[in-house]
Amino acid sequence: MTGPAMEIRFTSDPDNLAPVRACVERFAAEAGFDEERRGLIALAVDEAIANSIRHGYHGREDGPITLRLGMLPAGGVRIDLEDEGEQVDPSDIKPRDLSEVRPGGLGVHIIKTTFARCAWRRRESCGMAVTLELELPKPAIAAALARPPRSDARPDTRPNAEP
Amino acid sequence: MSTSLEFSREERLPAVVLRPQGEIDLARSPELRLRLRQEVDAKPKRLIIDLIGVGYMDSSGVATLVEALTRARAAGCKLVLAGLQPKVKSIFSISRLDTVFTITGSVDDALTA
Repeated sequence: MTGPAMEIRFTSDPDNLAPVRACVERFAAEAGFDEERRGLIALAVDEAIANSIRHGYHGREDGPITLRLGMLPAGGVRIDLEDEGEQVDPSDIKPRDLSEVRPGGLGVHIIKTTFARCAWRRRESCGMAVTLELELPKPAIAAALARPPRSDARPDTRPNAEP
Repeated sequence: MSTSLEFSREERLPAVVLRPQGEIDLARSPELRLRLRQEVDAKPKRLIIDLIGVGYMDSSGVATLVEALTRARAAGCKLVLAGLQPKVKSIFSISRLDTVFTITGSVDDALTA
């Protein structure tokens, strides 16, 4: 991954969803996504976190959740979400049949519709992890490259920073 | 810590217009669910849910509306959604519920839809 990266740790309290969504949407804006796509990315991440809360922690509000946001080298975002809740077989995580009109079960469909790649796995010790990736559409890459540098950007003075 | 959903209610008989205000996610959808149950249980002829004040909704909010639609149909009540903002329209479109619900642009249109 290149560019900005962020790690957010929070608990499985549903009240944390709103501020985390705001961070995700802001990060997606920095990655160059348009408003519509940013909204969908924030929604899909919200759904993934809600699944952790409901199915991983069964509604407990003190379960740890870690969200890592990064940028893909060719443009776009990679998002990693981990919890320490109940484990399931990743092959059981599937979207449901949308022809049935009933409450619930839309989260995985929303996640898979939004992201180009979604991979769920059991974590080694406990809990589940999911990695979500979405490339920036090509016209947006060109637009992002054409943007002038920010006037408040500071030079990177770390010892190993590239000039 | 976070703010609750606020509701305003208007009678435009024989319809009732309910206006939630805020973001509807896993934290807030139980409040919407409870309020919708109360409104549907009062058996209005028409219940219009004006979502103009809802800037965000996730699948828990959508599930609440699906449940309300089922209860409304059983109670002989016409349930209409109005004023959906673009982000909220997106989730209805993605979940293919935009053809299941009656959705209008405004409350005025919802009175006769």
